[in-house]
Amino acid sequence: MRAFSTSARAAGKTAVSIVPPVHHTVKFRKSQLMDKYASLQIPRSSVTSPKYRPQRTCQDRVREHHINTVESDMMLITYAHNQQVLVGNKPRPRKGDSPYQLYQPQRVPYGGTQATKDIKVRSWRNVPMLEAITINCFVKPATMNHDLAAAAKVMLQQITGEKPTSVYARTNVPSWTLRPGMPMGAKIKLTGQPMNQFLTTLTEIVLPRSKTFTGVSNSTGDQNGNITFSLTADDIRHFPEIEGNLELWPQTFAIDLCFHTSAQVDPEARTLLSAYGLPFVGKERYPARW
Amino acid sequence: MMNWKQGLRAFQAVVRPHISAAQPTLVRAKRTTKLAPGASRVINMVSVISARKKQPRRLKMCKEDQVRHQMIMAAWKLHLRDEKAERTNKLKAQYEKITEACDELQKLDPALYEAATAREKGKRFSPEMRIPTDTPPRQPWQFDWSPPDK
Repeated sequence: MRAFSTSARAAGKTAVSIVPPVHHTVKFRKSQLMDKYASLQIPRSSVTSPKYRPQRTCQDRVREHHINTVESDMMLITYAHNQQVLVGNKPRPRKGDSPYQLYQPQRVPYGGTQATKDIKVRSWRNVPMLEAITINCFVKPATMNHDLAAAAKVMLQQITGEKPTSVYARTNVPSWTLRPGMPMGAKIKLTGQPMNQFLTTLTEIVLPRSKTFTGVSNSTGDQNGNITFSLTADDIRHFPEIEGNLELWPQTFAIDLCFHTSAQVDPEARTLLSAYGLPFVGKERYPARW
Repeated sequence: MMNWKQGLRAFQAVVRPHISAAQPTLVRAKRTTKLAPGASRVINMVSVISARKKQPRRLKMCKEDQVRHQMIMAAWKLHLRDEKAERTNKLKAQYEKITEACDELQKLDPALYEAATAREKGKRFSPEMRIPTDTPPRQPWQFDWSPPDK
């Protein structure tokens, strides 16, 4: 006996009819077919959609550099012959020989409490590339003066050209007069052309003129190919957008930068970032498996 | 969500006194006096993060232009797809050649193979390498330059 797609599951049958004529393979509400919702059916890629954004509107130096030079070099640098998948430390299941173990959690992985990722075979499909840059600006004095958080937001907008989002306090620390929900700064995740634009501004204009910056520490990294460092409030003043309007900026704020790469281990992420002009200093440590 | 007046107030918190003094009181009617140059700059900056208009204006195109646009975008997508395929094929060919060369070397000379495939630690691109640009400086390369001794 045939059933409707919505009632089939309750009747203990498959939700989708597999006997032709096959219909109701996609669930929808009838209200979605109303005329007033027609504009919502327009895909984002169509010019008639209000969400339409033109892509690739200008030349992207960093992207071209990556494709022409960095990509094939990185493939050769990260190449390892006869590679095998290096399985990470995973939670260990219980043996199950006791009924008490039925609802117990799995045992923690060997060598720590956190599971680690597998390292997959490197090939032409997963050559490391820069995926995103996250900029986080946390302003401590914003507990006293809430407007500083908004000023930090405008500062991020000025140096990146993209719209940042506010960050709010999550904890309650009475001695710092910190309460949950206080606006404490701003953050932004840059991808694509704005990211590359920011990267070139950083490595060609800001960092060479910084008085304190000597290089990104070789010890930074979260073991998954993400490299983090910070810029001081004085370094921010070298961004051309701020420098051109210095009289408007008696106060700038320090920022934390996180470079998200698709490298599987940190040393490869550092190699990749060095191709974009970021200097690295200090002693480098290597993971046990890479 | 912050509107531009709140943003302006935020700016007054950090701007220097002589700038904040230059900002007029905000009136609803049409402005008769000119804004101070500093104040108008602040308003410009702050208006970018304000939530005054959430949805951007839709592009108005006649039917003919829409069809034309679709046609161009379809062709452009095909071009991008071909470009990507070409790039991937090139990388794949390089990868296969690397593998082939390593296999061959392993058979010919195991010692050389060990040396060639050893993991190189602390590998960096040259710090003198620059991202190519269409507008290089007047003196693009300093041939006499040598790194300072440490």
